[in-house]
This record gives sequence, structure tokens and C-alpha cells, in this order.
Amino acid sequence: MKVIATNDYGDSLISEQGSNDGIELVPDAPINL
Amino acid sequence: MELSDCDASETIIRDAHSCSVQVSILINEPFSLTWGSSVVAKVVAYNLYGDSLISESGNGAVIITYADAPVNLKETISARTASSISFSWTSGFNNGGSSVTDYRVSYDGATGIYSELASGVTTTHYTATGLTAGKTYKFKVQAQNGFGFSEYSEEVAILCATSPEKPNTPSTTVVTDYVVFNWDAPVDNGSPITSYHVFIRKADLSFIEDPTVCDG
Repeated sequence: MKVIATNDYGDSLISEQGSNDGIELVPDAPINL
Repeated sequence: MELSDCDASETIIRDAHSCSVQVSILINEPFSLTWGSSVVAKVVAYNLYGDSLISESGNGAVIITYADAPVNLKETISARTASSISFSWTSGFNNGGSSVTDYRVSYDGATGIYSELASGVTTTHYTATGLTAGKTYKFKVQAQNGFGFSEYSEEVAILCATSPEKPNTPSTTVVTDYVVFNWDAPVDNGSPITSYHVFIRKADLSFIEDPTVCDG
């Protein structure tokens, strides 16, 4: 993600890109039992 | 035209062969001289036997006064920074008969007392530096010509502020079923931060702002 801050005088420069925290989910259930 | 204020028949004037007339009389009717114009006189001498021929014209001293105060004092918005304020002004309508040579800038840094910030400014704009973000400063300007300094211009009050600093690199953390986005509040540069724009990277690696997901 990136962020821009705003006040009454305008927008900041855009931040650098943030960290890449992987999204992990539980695996699908086994099939063909 | 003879001057009632310079009645050369009076003994004291006759003997001194000199008299003086207030400039304010000469700039009004019937003389109607304008500031910067020359004052020229001729003299006729009288005695019991009659009038002399009229003299040649004199040297023509120039009458001048203070210039009008500068006007239209306003901030140069495009030049805003967190530690400086730029502003400009326009010369007053009348220069008092003498060209304006320079300007004197005074300021009040919220103390209630004006002090001189710069003199000998030969342009009609100025940048005050070394200021504190978030503080309101007042400025006023005088014009100088050959006669002296004009009245002060109208003052202008300007908040030293600009857009926020660039935010530090934000972080993302996965917490069970949520992704948490964190960032530090950047320096606001004199004006409170009113909102953020949050951009999240898509699968195609481009960034998109979606206020329905994260409205900063």
C-alpha cells in the first residue's frame, strides 16, 4: 500500500510502497475421498 | 499670478528680496501644480518712476512629497513552504513626484509589535525565511522616494503552512481474517492533516484507491 496525507494546503507526496505481508488462508478441504 | 502669501510690497520681503509659499497652496487652484512639477517664478521691481522689465524665469525647483502607500499586498501562493512566506505588492497610484527607489518590509510574528524585516528592497515582492510552520505572520510595506517613506500599506496576515510531508512507508499486517494497514502521521507543515488517501496494490501490481474499502 501507499499513502498520501492531505491538509488545507494540499496533498503530500505519495509514500513509498509498504511491506508485503502475505495473505495465508486455510487450504481447501481434501476431495475424492 | 501674484501670490497673496508672497506680497513683495511688504517691507520685510522687499528688503530680504525673498519670500516663501506653502507647497500646499501651489498644488491647489489657481496654480494646480502637480507633484514632480517645477515651480517657476518671475519678478518685476517697482519704484517711484515705474516698473522694471519682467525678469527671466527662475530655475524651477521641483515639488515632491511622499509616495502613496503600496497596495494589493498578497501572498504568492505558489511559493509556499513550511518555513517561508512569499508575498508581492503594487506601487501606490501616486509616486509623489519622485520615483520610488525601494521598499521597506515590516513584520509582526504574533507579538503585536511590528519590526523591520528588510529595507532597500528594489523589487515588488519579498520572501520571508526562517519562519515557523503553523504560526501566523503579519506584513506591511512602505515605499521610499526622494522625499522619504510613505505610509504603511494595509497589513496582510499569512499562516506559514504548506501541504504535509510525505508519509513514511506504511506497513501491512495480516491478522486472522483482516489485513491491517498502518502508517505514521507525517509532519503536517503548519496545517492539521484533514485526510489520507490510501492506495492498495492489485494483483496486476497497479495501485488503486478504494474509499469503500479504506476511506482515509
